[in-house]
Amino acid sequence: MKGGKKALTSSVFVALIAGVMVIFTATTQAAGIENNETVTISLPAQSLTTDLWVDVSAGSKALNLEMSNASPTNVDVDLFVRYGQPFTGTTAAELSNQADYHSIAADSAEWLHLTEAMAPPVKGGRWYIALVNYAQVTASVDLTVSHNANPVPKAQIIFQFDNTANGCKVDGWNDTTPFTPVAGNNATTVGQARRNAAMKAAELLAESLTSSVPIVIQGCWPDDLETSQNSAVLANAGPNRIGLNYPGLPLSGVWYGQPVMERLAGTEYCRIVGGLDCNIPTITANFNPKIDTDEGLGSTRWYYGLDSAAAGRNVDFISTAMHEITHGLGFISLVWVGDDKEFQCFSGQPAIMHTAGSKFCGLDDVFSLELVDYNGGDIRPFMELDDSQRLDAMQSGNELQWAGEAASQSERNIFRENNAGYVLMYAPNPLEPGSSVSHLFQSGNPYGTSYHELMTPMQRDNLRELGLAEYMLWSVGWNPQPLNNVTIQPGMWYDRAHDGHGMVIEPIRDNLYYVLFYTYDDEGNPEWMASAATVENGVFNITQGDGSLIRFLYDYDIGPNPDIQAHSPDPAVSASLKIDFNASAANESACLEGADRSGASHLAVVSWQVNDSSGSWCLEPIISIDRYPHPNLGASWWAGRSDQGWGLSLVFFDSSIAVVLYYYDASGQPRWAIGTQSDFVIGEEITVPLKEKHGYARTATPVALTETDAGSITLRLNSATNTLGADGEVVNLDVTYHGPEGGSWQRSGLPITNLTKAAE
Amino acid sequence: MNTVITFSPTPAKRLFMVVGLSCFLLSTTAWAEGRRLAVKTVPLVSAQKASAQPDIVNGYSLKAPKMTQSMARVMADGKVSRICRDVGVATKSLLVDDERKGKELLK
Repeated sequence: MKGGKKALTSSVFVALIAGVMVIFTATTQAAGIENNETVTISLPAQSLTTDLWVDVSAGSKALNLEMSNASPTNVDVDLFVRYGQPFTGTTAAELSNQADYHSIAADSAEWLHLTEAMAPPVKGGRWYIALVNYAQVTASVDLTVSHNANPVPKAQIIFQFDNTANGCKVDGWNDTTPFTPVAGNNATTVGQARRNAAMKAAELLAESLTSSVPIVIQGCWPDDLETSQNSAVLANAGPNRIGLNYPGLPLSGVWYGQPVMERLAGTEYCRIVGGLDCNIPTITANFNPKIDTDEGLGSTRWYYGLDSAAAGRNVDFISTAMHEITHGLGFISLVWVGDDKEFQCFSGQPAIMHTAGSKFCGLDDVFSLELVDYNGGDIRPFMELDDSQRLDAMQSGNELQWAGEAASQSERNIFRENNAGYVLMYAPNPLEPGSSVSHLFQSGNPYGTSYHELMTPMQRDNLRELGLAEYMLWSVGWNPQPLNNVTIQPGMWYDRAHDGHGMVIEPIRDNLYYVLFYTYDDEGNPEWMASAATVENGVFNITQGDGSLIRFLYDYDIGPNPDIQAHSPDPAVSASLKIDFNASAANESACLEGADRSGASHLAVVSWQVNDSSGSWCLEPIISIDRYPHPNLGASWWAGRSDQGWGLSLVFFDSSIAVVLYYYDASGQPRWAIGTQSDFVIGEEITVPLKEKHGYARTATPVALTETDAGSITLRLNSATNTLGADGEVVNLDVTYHGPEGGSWQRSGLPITNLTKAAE
Repeated sequence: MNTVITFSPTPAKRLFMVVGLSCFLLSTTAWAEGRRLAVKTVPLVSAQKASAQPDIVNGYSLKAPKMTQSMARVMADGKVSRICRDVGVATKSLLVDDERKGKELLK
């Protein structure tokens, strides 16, 4: 017994010691944050930490991060989140650039509600977290993190009936005039009837929308809307803000309306832009109270029935509100349609004149990017036209069309069997300022029918469903499906069963990627081809159109020439390329056969076609991303427009550099050479010997490769740059082609710049 | 010879255990509020928020330039037809730089 007592005593003591050690560990060592856990973090004055993460379990579809209980209460602490890679930035600006999402309002109540329908989508893996304390005092905050498998929630639309900001008149919501109940609206006052109808409109819209961020609509009843006996403004609405280039927005340099911004960024406007005011509603909607008097439209009245739409002479409040709010949600082109108008778009810069057909502030907007000008022949993207061409399309009658896939293929698109199957937009001649472009086609159509939809410009039917507009909104940011649900490692990829061939895959921007295919022709001589396309749903070049893979030829009689391209597509080659990066690719026969793929970090299937030959190969990264340095200058580089048509891909690993040079032989055929060198140092000159490889045709049985010395390339690189030679990046090269065509490629002291984005 | 911990600790051991228990209880309290994490921090190189600079590369916002508007007209047959048009905002400047600047840093 005594011995047992001793053992018990010992255990208690050990437990206590362990307890103290746990306490010590928990309070002094950074660690991952568990699911549904709240941690308290103290940050010294004006400091940042990148020391936090959460391991999100596989199958998760939602990730929520919320800060609270700041001490002192008025400190400004910001929140940054990044999937898959730790933050390496040491300034707030660098953190913003690296973050997939941020919440950076001027307080410390930051929050992010991330979903699977964002870019990047919530998925299993490590999500890194950074915090910045701007205050000149130590700040303590609680951070609560949770993740789960819940799908994107239905949107919550909140109608504000009491927000008087910016002169909003709210008396109309409290009008005590007696009301006779009608069609399920059992209010006893006009004010209550209006509130019931507004909430019903919100409810009907919310049924078709998903978002983790509430949509807040400020409702107003101004008394100065244009009104007469025969004509009146019924209502107007719009988003309060637009923005671009914030974390979470899939396309850079493209305007998004405030509701879409908030949905895609996973937080409210003030937390996206770093704002002071977190009470800016998402949308403001104004309604004309005089319609309920003889002053507006005579005996016509607003109809507030909930269960059925207005008939006869009255105006349906719910249908009108739904139409206007839908515009506010993003169903609106920012291309200028009205009279000439100047806007000051950028601080410290002159105002910009907008004429019909102008891009707003000279930049694309996400709605207009879905539009094309289609006349039965060429399909020309609306935003790639010049202003004059765009104006012509806007007045073309039926050439202005919506190419978004979901809407075009929807059964609601009654024109899906016609021509390209796109959605026809409203493009009357002459232009109807406001109605043109931002509505569905309605009259004068060539097919003997017309849309019967909420978003046609004219309404007599008082429709109360989003209809075709729901699918169109998907294309501007309301898609409930996961977006780009893959992470693609930039750099060199190859197939173990086709060693010697390879591809360099790198982003140009966002989900637009550039692929350089270095391979061998039928005689085993080196040749290369290039392709640029978007990655949609994890697939590069999902349409795999003809000519999507281009083999270039070089004309020495022209180049190098700053005014004329010396390179042009080889007319004898028709080629295409498609790469599936989704996880399911690993189960494709290309990946199950031909070679042992064990140890591959990521498998993708490339389907290529060159003239009459084709194949499906299984790709994997050649170099593990763990070996990429920080900072990483790995990217494809070129010498700018004055000497274009050739270039080089650089891959850095450990302290070494790999170079693939794409050039031309004496007859202008595309050739490549490859080499590696150790001891690369940023800012210092390095010479890399290059080898000319000869191998086997893409459809031939693999044989051993042969190589000969091709020459060398000397580089000096200081930083990733989009400006030619901005930081002294130069190349010297002298390469000889030993094939039957012969030739040499020489450059000396030539400035170079990034063609693709440098990998982080 | 193994050290044996007796059931009757010395005063020093009792003190240690009291401290340990106190720490444990304090720790339990702290866990209820949120596990306290001590994280590595580095000083901010610049105390200015990135959002304070109106830079379209790093995020930029403006007032929306236009809204849509539904008009109603009484037609010859006495029915009301609704047509939607959009209208540009009246103001020339759409700048909202102040919204992005954040507040002055706490002194």
